[in-house]
Amino acid sequence: MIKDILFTVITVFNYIVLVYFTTLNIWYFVLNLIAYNGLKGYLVRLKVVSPNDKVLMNSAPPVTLLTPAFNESQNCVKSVHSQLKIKYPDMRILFINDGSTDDTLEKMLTTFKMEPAFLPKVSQLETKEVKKIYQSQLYPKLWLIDKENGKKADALNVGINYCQTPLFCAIDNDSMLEEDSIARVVVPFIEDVRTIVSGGIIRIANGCKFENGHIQKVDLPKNIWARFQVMEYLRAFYGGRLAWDKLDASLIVSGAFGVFRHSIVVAAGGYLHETIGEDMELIVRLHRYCGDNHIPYKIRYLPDPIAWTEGPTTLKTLGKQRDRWQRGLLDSVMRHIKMLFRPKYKKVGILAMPFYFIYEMIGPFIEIAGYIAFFALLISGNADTTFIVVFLLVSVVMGMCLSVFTLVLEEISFHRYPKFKHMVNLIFVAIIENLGYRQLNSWWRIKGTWSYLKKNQNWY
Amino acid sequence: MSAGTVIDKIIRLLSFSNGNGLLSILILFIVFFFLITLALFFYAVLVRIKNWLVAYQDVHFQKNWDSVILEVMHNDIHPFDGYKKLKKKHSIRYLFYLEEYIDILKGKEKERLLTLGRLSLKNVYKYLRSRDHGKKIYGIHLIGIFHPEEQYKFLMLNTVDMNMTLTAIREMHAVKDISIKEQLIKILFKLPNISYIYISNLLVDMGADIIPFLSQVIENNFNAPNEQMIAIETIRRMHNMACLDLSEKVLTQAQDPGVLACWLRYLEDQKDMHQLDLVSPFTEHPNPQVRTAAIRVYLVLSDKLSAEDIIKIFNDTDIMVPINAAEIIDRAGSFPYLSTGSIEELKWKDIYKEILI
Repeated sequence: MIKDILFTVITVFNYIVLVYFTTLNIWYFVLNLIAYNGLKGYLVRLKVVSPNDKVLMNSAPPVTLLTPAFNESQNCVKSVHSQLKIKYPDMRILFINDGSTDDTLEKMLTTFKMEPAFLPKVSQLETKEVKKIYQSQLYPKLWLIDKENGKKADALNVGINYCQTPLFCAIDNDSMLEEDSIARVVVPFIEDVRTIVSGGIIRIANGCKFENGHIQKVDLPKNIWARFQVMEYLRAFYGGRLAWDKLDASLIVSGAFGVFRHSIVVAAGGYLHETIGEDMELIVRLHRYCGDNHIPYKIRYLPDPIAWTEGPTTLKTLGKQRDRWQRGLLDSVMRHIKMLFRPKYKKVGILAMPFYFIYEMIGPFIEIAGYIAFFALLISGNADTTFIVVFLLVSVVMGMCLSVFTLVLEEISFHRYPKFKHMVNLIFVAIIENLGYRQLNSWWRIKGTWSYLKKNQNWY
Repeated sequence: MSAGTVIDKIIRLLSFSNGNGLLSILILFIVFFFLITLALFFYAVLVRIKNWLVAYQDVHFQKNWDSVILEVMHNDIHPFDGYKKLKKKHSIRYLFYLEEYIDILKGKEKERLLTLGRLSLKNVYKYLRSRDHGKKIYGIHLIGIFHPEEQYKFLMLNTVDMNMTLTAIREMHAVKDISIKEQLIKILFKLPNISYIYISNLLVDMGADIIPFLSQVIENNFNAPNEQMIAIETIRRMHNMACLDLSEKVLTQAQDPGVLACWLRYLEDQKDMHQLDLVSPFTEHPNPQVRTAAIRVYLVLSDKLSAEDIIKIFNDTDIMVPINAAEIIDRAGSFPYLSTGSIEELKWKDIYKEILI
């Protein structure tokens, strides 16, 4: 009797997994179609209006680049050199040393000949104490704020407090921006004054060649984990974010590269200290703030302003990154759970939040539980082996289809991977990632959820 | 197992009547998505090959285009003769390539290349009537460059799509007819949510003959502050003094803080000492944006800075006032006497001390 009930429960659960899985993939497919449409429109626009266009550049608002850094002795000089080469009419760089314990500060002070200077504090977000402010004697637009350690969100808030331009751009210290990235990413602010945030695409830098902080040659990474990430990033940015942007419901602008309207971020309270996913949390909070206060706004994502970033190359570091991302996602959604299904927040409340809640938060559990249930049936001898094999094949083929769709998007647009072998390699990755890597990701995400429930706030 | 048995099994599996309906659906899924994947794969390969071909052709054609364009540009040959020597002369790729030259040229050289381009517009006119949004945009963009007056007729019929309108007007600064320019400005005024600075930059390219029209806007359109802001910003960017006479009217009648701040920035650029009395009251305006702009003009125009001024500025409720003032005071380099005690009592004493240092 009990065995029968158990069997029925597992069978019903398997059907739920099936429905869930099918709807998820259909959703992704629809998102890809929306992205395709959006990308086509964007490319047309790009052909007729260059971001370096004289009229656009004359209208470009001043921007401050905020670069928080903790123990970045190896990267800091290279990153700042790359930032100094960015072509933009009015840009200031604020390097925020977040209480580094290595020689980050010393390296910065000596390399850029930095001297103590004064910078007025224009907003009053609560932060750890600022020790000293410096200005470069070589490059007057380069400033350094030395502060006590308080994690990334705190460092960014310090930057916001000292930012005197209407826009600021938050980037990771290990991100390399392309020369015209800022010029491209600010265009939405010029063309629509309602824009409060605009983000660009992040691509994996592993395998690429850089000279003086600028990309010289694009190639695929040799490391298999990094190669998986190339595909993942393409899928996330082309298939996901572009479509959500088209739907006017972007919930994430990557912390590695995003431009924000200073005044609205200050009004919303800046970055939250006690969260691990400060970038996503801020975007969700901005949606909520604008919705609650009836402020017309736009949060935009563009597919061509590019920031290159190094992806983790070991299973351990990759696992930690995904664990952190999952905690960030959970924290952002749970903090703003009241937005779920609320028409007041328009498509964000009706579409994006439920999507993230159902598919991104609960998804890994259903996937892993589905595998367990299948194995339970298999072990108990009740499994229909044909069904299991067919189901796994569906999963692989759908995954492949979405990945190849993403490659089409890349081909019709910016085709940054120039060789034919790159394309073949990526297609190969698109197939094999479904056989282990995807399951591993689900496992990391479950671990992340567990860490979140244990209130683990470590950034690792 | 014979082929017949396998086919029979597949047919039974796919039939919904054998109790394996779900399995059948899943298999259909596999087939469907596999075929789509294959199609997408081949499409990606095709796109890649097409991109290669285009790049290869571009290298080949650009050699021909470069030589002809340079000859026409330097007046070595007539544009009509140049046109005859061109390969792929009706392609969009050629016209976009020609545009790259035109963008960086001025005067007669530009005119010659515009004439050369006009001869290749045959296909572009067809694009204006295309159902493909992309082609339509390419069409209006190119006609806007080479034949702005022609473009205007099309634009008047298609002012619903904001994106298209803006694309069209962006390239139409070459229009010579002032009545058309005025119509274009009116259309630009109606485009919602675009930064007024961006629009004013577009207007700057239209030339000084639009100033009388802008002057009228500034003088009369007090119920349309955005239009006034665009007009003021445009004359400011044109460094034109013709509208200074309107100062009294604007400063007394305008209610919108944006308009007032814009006008004050215009006055700061003009450095007309006669405006000082008009500006002074605005240094106490409740809106910080207006106050900041007014204090900037006040500091630029007044020859002597008093201790009271310093106390007022550096005790302002908004930090942008002292920050902006400090920039100008620092530039001027002369300070009134203020005791150490008074300095210490200033709300923004750090900023003041910094300029003293």
